[in-house]
Amino acid sequence: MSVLFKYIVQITLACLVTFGVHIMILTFMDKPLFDNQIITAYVGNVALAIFIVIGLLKVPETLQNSRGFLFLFGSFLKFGFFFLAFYSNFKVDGAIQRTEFFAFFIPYAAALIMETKCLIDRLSK
Amino acid sequence: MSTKKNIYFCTKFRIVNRQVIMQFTRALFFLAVLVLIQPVFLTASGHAEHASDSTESTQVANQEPAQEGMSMKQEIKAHIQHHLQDGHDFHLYTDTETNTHVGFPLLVILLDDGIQVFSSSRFHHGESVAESNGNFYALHHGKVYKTDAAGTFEMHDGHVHNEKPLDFSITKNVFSIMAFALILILLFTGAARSYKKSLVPSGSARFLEPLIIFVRDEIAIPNIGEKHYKRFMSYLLTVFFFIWLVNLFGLTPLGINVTNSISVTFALAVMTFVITQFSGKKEYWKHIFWMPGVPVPMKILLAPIELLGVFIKPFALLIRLYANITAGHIVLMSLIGLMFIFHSWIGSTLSFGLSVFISFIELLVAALQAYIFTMLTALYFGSAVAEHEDH
Repeated sequence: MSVLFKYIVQITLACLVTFGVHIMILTFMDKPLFDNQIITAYVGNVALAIFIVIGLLKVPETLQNSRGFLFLFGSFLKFGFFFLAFYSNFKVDGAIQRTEFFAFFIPYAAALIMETKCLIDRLSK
Repeated sequence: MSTKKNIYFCTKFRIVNRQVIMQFTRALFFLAVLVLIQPVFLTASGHAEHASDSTESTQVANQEPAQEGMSMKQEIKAHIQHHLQDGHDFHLYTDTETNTHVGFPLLVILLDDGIQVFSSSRFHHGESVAESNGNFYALHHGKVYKTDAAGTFEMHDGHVHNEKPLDFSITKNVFSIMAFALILILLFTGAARSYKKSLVPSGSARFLEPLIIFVRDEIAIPNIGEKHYKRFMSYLLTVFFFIWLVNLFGLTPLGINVTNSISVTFALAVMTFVITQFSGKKEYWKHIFWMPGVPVPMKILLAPIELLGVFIKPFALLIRLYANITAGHIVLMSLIGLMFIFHSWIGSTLSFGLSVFISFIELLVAALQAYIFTMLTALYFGSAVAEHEDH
């Protein structure tokens, strides 16, 4: 199994488990399950995490030292993704509700942890 | 033997100096970058919108309070605030009796209905409405707003709600940055040229050489290390001389206040941030994301703290410079203002003496802030390029 495939599987699995727990909590709290663009948030964050991991693994030899910079750049991409796809919809009623915030933040955090793991593995090699 | 050795050392010393100065002159583009990006931050500092629920309309002539209607304390406060602000013209002096302003106008460049370019003299120091291609603009607290022909401001809760065009004007600060860049280019190209003629410094090089050596030997080498310091010297020298020069000119009665503008210190800090992150070696990132030599739970705890530190460091850099210079100016001008409030010869003499003393302290602060900014920048660069054997 290639290293890249291993990370893709890990990110997808981690986000799927997180999604399951997230939906379970929403069910217990009697909240709507698939509101607040939750599917877009999970799919978008997984896709961006895979994109960043590909960047970290396939970085040219001359830029090996700049992996951390690439990681930070990836975080800026995610902020861009949030502001373009979510912020305006969340702010329609004037404020970002807690469920709206967590709909984006939980998949973001899960994907970020997996990206960080990949970065640490690369840096430790 | 000893003389020969000394001559060899001096020659080598001069050659290194010349290389450093040549590097510096080549790298003055940092200042050009600063000039280019500063207006963007200026415009980003506030973008007022149209307000449908405006409750009050005032006209441009009423915006600047009449000097005669103010108390002495209010007048001093207004004067300090005016001094701290960036402006669209260089205002040196106002004759309140004849209401004439002494100074010179600058170029106003607005992105509104195409590009509007006109002289700031059309504002008559904020007392008139400027017309450009059928659009009308007026100044309110040094900012340009779009108005009608009468210069009406839509006021709501004490705030102007007129449209604010994107302002890319050559303001007092932008003009000052350009002037200082030119001064630095002239000084350093002159110094570099003098080394081509002789290894003995002459002209401006006699003054600049010890300072350059100081930045190299006391700031760059101890913080970055012998191996990597050279590639950062151009930036460190630019930052040091730029901050020092603008701080010194800030103490003159010209009303130049470049490092008192948070957009300038922000631009400088962003450049330091980008260079640091881009120069970061594997070890630097490892220290952030997986701190070596500590237990795993500690590593997990330290990672977010260290990552936050990456952004806090440049933030502290920009706030420190901005706050120190602003505070210094406020203290100094308040002490000068006290001379006019005290109506006794003891009070006025004391505040005069104190303001002279603070002025000398400010001279020290001007150099100290340039030193601190450069030193911390070098420290961040050093941590970014540090290799394992350096620990």
